[in-house]
Amino acid sequence: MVYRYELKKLLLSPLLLTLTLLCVLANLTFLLVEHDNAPSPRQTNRPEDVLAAQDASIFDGYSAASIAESYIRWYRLEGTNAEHVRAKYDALQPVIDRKAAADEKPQLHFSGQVSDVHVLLFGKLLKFFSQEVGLLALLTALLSAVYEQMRGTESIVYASRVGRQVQLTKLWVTLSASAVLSLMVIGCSLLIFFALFDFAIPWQADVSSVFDHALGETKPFITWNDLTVAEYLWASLGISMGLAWLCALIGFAAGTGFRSVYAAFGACVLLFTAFDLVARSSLLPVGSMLKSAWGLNPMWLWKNSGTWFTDGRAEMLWANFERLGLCAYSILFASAVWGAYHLLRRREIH
Amino acid sequence: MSLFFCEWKKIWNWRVVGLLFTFAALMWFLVLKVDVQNYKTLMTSAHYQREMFEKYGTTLEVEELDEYDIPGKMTAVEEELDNQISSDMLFTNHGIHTYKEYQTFMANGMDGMDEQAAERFFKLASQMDEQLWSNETRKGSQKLLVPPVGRLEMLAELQNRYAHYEQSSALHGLTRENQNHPVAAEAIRKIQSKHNNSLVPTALQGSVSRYASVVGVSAILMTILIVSPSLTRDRARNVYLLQYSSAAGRRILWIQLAAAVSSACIFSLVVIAVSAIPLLAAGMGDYFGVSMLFTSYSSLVFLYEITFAQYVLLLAGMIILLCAAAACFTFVLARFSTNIMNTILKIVPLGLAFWILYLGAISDTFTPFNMLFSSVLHGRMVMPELILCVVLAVVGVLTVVSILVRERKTDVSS
Repeated sequence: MVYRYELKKLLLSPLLLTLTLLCVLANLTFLLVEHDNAPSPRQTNRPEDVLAAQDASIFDGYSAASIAESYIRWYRLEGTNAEHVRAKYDALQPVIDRKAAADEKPQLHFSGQVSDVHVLLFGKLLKFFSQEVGLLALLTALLSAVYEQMRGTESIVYASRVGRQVQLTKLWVTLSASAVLSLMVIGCSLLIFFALFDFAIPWQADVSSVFDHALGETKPFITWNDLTVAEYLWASLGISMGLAWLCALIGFAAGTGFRSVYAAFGACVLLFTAFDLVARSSLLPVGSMLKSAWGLNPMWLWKNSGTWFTDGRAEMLWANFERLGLCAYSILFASAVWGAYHLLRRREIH
Repeated sequence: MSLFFCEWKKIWNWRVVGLLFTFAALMWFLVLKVDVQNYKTLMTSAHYQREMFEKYGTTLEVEELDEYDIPGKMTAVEEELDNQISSDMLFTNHGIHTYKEYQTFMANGMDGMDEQAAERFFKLASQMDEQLWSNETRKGSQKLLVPPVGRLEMLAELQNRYAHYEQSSALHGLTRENQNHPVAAEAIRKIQSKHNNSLVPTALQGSVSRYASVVGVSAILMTILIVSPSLTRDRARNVYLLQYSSAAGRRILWIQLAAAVSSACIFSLVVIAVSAIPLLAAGMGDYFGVSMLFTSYSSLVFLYEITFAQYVLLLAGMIILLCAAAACFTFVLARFSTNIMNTILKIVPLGLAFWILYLGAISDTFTPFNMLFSSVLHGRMVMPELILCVVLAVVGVLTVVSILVRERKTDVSS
């Protein structure tokens, strides 16, 4: 019962609904601009695409070490950092060999216009809406966590039979509401995308292909696991949703732990700023464990949405880093929520 | 007046100051410090231009260009380079004794090589490149840290910029390309009539523009964060009812607005002044009198004939205007919020909108690469970035004034 009422409070909040609409409108504007600027199909045929369409097996004899060496040269890496990068790409070699041994038809996923659609969908749109749903989830969680305090009904609720346990119900409600709002944003954005870009994407083709335009680099796009394009899309959407829930946990921990709403918001802003700025700065050298561990934060994951399920360039040293980061930070902030809830249970009501 | 100061005190409490210092520290150590270092590094590769600037002042006239004798200097550096190459086994073992031979060797590239030979060639080429660019051979001399190959590139750039600016076919191409951009065409005409004589360093505009983007966006977001709580707090705690029934009455909102806008302006001014210190310490102040209008390597870098000092003042003015506009819009949103959470839900999209607007329409200010100038207006308007900032500030002020005028007659509970 309480769950239903709480859910109604959040989902019918005019401000949250307006924000959701704004997110969809922003994506619509972006996609319309991209649609207008899209080059004609003839211009999109790159020499690499022609090569990719040849009958040769593209992974046959391909060496992952060459990617490692090019990164080592580019970042001028030395010592253990260079070894870390080499070790990561050595681990990728069996994946390439497996793909070569499968002796499948040529990987056509990135040929012709599809490569531009891939860049647009996984490189740009995915990045935008995963950030948007993260922000929406954070604000939903903050609103939910401080709702009673904001309305001045805290004392009444705490004196009721449910008592302070209402905060736990609010947590489940927050996660549900975040999921609903995220699905609305993602669903509408994808609908607009598929309506505007009427192009036959080979959904059943292997997403791993030899040329990686999504990253603006001419290096293979290789996923650690064998994924078709459709599976890759679903998996990416799953990570987006996971990141939205993670943001909901961060917002809920801050909203429950801090007495002042503004302090909670300030703490969230500070946390995300630190996530982003430290990852961007040259404070942590590329190839080091620390840089890689810092890169597991949601800000880095959002900014590198095009690399999910792949090698993650030189900055990331571990396979499946997106799931690793999501799990690690989810555990961290779930513990933070738990701690904040226990603080709340013992807190003096002013 | 005492009410005004009381409102100021509400905005500037110790917690806000602490939050600002934390943000400032993060921004400085993680972003701006690196930018200043990058600028210094870029300036080391502008050694000859600095020499010309010190010798001839803000402009380089034709006779001064002849006197400086760039081709002569290039020949001297090339000789130095030939000596370096001929005494290095890595080059001589492959039959390379002069820089010209090295260039021919690189230009021939991997033509007709199989995969293994190409890989060997690539490795050798990168080794040679590294050897040429390494500073080891010049550790003893403190004066010039740039190796001869770097100095040759610097001189070639100067030669291209000052001696071949008119012959550069690409500049004519640029004129054709921009013939529908009247402002860009006018800039090119001016450059040609002045013989592209400005001695402004190539890296100056880009460095300042990037630095100003970071400072500007941070100042705007911080302004929104600090201005929003004080008014909302009054409404959340129903203090505004007391204020309305006091002697000040609803006039209090005007005082609060004055406190918010003056806080925004003074805060942005302080942020700009403080962030300018490291740049001035890096020697940017020397170039205040130099004209920003120039073209380099066939690319029109700047559009208007203004000095560096005027450019910096205009950038600062635009940031202050945007902060004032942000404060006005935040004030309106806070007026229509009954609690802090409501305000937060409104200021987040406002902050993001300002952020996107800055990066999309204001950054790369006064250059042909500015998106508002090139993609939206197609070069038909002079300084659209500045006009946009003024329009935003005016719209902000008009909106807030109309809300406050309306406030005199509205129901207290609305």
